[in-house]
Amino acid sequence: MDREVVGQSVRFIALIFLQVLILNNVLFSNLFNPYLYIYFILLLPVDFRPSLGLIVGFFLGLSIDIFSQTLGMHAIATTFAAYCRPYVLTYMAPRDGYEFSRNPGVRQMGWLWFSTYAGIIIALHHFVLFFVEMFRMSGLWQTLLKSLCSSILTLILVLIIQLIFLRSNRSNSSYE
Amino acid sequence: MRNLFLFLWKNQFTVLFVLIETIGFYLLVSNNSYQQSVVHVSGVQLSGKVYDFEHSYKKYIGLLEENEALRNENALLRLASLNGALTQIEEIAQYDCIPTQAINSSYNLEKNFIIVNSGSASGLQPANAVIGTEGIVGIVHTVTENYASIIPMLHSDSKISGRLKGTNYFGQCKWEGRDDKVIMLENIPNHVPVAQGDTIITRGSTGIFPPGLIIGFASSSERDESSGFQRIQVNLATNFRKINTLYVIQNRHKEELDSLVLKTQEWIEK
Repeated sequence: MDREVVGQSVRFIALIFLQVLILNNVLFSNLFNPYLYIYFILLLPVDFRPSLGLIVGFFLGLSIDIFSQTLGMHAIATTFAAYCRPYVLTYMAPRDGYEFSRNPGVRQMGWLWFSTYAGIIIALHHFVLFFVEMFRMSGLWQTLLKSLCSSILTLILVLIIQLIFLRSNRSNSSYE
Repeated sequence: MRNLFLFLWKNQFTVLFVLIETIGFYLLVSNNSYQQSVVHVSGVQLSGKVYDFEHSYKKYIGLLEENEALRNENALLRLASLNGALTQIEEIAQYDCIPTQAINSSYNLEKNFIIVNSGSASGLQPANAVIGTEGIVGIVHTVTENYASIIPMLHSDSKISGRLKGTNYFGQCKWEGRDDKVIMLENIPNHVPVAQGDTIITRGSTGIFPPGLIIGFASSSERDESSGFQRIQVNLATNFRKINTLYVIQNRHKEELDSLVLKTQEWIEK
């Protein structure tokens, strides 16, 4: 359990730095803004307490906000993603339920399940984020397009990370 | 009450979510100027619609009085044109005048406001001057498509440059936040004689107000020997309790004047 907490904390901090120092400065075009830090919410254990998840989500978003001078924006979106996660998990539960209480990753659930799960939460998070950024109804189409493009990019990055860790875990089973 | 608690306890997850998002939105709106302005503008729009509705019922009540004031004004204008004030008219062509109507206003707050039922669709722009039938009123602040909010002289941030008519001495008009009929004109030197009833007019230094419009009439002055300046109490010409027909004045040369002032300042700072 302690090891799990340490691992999560390292991931929390690493993702914030990755986002703030590298990804926030990557600008392919106005439509593609990857927000990879949401990966942390995706990989919380399945039995993680939902209300604790909300608080963690809020502070994750707030940390990103503090570094990118957008106080509130990421906090709102990440809290929303954390709110939706338990419902998505319930909706996507396998017929015999989740047998493990670990992270919902590719290794446990398979590529298809994980991509769908990650895609839904990333899309919800990005849509709320860009909507709050735009903050008016008239730009709804642009917001939708932007969230779609950015979600795809973030999802690809998430899958790449999963792939890397899958490989490294396979080659080094003592890491488990 | 017990049921309410039961409901909240059952839905504690959602309640916590709403709570946290409220904090998030509070942070968002109080720290990001764009989101803040959106909230402000939609506030003006919403209150504009509500007061427009109210106004559509109320406008008949003051109709007689309003007609009287407009007739008087018409008469004055006719008089001016009869007296051959052609030279002035040439000068006046620098300004556009858009009539509008106040649909809501306040006079008893520290920061008062007026909402009018014309907006960008009628050509209003922020920082336009607003005058009434008696004297000047204030400056346009936020403009939406069909409404605009005005910062009247009765606002703690309002500063208007005023001149003592018949002299070249000028000072700042400030409202001290107590009496809605009185503002103070500061920075007039002690040696300038001020009589009760002397007219205070706009100086037109920033190009917002045309020069020479009536602000009010001096009622008393107190000389401050230590600073060498007197403070003149001015009775406002406009009655802010009966704001109704207003005119928005636009200066076609404003941008030109602004850029000149900016260049001059840059030059001075060098």
